[in-house]
Amino acid sequence: MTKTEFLQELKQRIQEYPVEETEKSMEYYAEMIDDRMEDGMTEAEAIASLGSVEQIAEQIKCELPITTLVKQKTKEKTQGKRMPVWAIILLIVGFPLWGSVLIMILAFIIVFYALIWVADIMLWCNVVCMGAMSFAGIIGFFGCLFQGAFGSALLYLGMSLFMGGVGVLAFLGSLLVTKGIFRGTRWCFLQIKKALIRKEEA
Amino acid sequence: MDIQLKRGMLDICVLSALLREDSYGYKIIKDLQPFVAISESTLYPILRRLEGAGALNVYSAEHNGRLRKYYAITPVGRERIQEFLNEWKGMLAIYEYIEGEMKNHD
Repeated sequence: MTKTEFLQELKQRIQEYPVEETEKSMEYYAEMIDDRMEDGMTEAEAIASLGSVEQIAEQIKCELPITTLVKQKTKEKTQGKRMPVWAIILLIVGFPLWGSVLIMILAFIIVFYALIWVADIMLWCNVVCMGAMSFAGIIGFFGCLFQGAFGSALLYLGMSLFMGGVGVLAFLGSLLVTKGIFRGTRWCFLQIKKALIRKEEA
Repeated sequence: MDIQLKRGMLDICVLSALLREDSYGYKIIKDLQPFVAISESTLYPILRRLEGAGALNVYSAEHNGRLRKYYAITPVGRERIQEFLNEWKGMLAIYEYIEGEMKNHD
């Protein structure tokens, strides 16, 4: 193997890495061969003493920072993933089909999410209703008291207190549910974000 | 020998080979030959690493009608050698203690 052949082969093995790295490595090994020949070795001897090109290339790659390697990997992937023309045409022609399906799925998700909020709003309506009933019970209680109907007054008072108690419980429950929905929404967004980041990194 | 230890030691060996004068790849290997066998492919990443750490400077100079890369040690590099020597002074004390104990209680 001659010096040119050696360098050519080395270049082929590491050329996918940054040009600067490749050039520096080539210069280094060219200089090594020259210095050995100057020291009295023949060209073939000098090259043989360097070891196999494979090993040298492997070593150079191992020393590259991991970020360079990852960058290289993603570059390879995106380059390999370029969509063929027919796929793009199919995508455009098929839009009425996959577009409507996509819109439907999105609509489903939105409606489902809206329903959760509607249920929550209903819970709060209940709370308001119970509050109103409790208030009405108090009014009934005083009304009956002034009219002298003590039995009815007592019944109103009991109803009012009962509704008030249930109302407070319903209020606490609704608060929990609402907080839960908020937390769930945030969690969903976080998951979507994570999925996106993972996709970018891959 | 422990790989990490040897790696650190080789760095220091290469730096020490630059103390007398600026040197180039092949000469560094030859100068170190009597003490440590170091191959071209081992030396290359060491030089790159030391350059990146600012422990040595690289410059090109003409030699026999071609360019050759010369390496010069920097103050940072000298400091590294000093650190190595200090570290090993402590190591030697431990070594002597162990050796002595071994002899006394054989």
